[in-house]
Amino acid sequence: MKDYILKEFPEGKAAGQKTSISEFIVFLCILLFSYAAFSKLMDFANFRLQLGSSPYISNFAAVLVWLIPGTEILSAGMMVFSRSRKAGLYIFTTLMAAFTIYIAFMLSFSEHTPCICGGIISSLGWFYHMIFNLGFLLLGIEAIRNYRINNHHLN
Amino acid sequence: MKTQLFGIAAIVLAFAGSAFTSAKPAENNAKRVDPYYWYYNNPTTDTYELLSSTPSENPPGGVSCPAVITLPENCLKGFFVDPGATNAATNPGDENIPRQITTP
Repeated sequence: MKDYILKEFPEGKAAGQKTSISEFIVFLCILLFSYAAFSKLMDFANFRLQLGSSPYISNFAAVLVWLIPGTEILSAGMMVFSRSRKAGLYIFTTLMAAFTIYIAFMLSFSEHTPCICGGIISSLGWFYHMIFNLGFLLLGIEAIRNYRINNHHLN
Repeated sequence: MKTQLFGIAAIVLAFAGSAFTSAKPAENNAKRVDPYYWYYNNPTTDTYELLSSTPSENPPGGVSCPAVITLPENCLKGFFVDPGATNAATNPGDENIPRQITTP
C-alpha cells in the first residue's frame, strides 16, 4: 500500500525526504546551541572575561553573559517539541544572524579582536567562525522554509 | 515523537561534549596571558598573580602549564580591556613593566 502511494503520489516521497532533512537540520541546531550554551556555562569565568574584552559589547557584558546562553538553551528546548519548534527555529536563526553580523562587523571595523582562548569551535579563528555561523544561519532558514511548506501541505 | 527523541539525544550529547572539552586539570591554573610574563589565576581570590617579575618563554619555577593559550595572528598579546574596565591587563609595549592583575 505504501509503495502504491509512493508510486502514485511521488510528491509524498519527496515530502517525506524533506521532512527527514528538516528533522536532521533541527537536530543539528539543537546540538549546536546546547553545546554552545553548556560550554559557556561550564567555563563561565573565561566566557565573562572574553565578553568583557569584546569590542562594542563589553559595556553590556554583565547582561549578555546570562542572556546569550539562556537564550540558546531556551531555543534548543523549544526546538525539541513540535508545538514550539517553529518559534525555536526563529530564535535560533535570529541569534545566528546577530552573531554572524557581529563577527563580520568586528572583523571589518574593529582595530583588534579579542583573544580566543579555548573551545572546539573557537579554535577555528574568527573568520572561519563567521563562515561556520553563516552555514548554520542558512540551515536555520532552510528549516523554517521546510516547516512552512510542510504546514502548507497539511492545511 | 521521533524528532523529540532526537532533540533530547542532541541535548544530552551536547552536554557530554561540552563537559569533555571543558575539563581542565584541577591542580594547575597557570595560564599564559602574556608571552613574557606568567600569571597564576588564583581561584580563591579571583585575581591573576604575577609568578615572576622576570620575563621568560616558559612558566618559572617548574610550574607546568598544560593550557597554553595560542594567540592567532590578528590577536593582541594579552587581553584587551576598555579603559573603564575593572580587569587590568598588560598592553603591547609594556612588556618591561610587570603588572599585577587584580579584580575589585
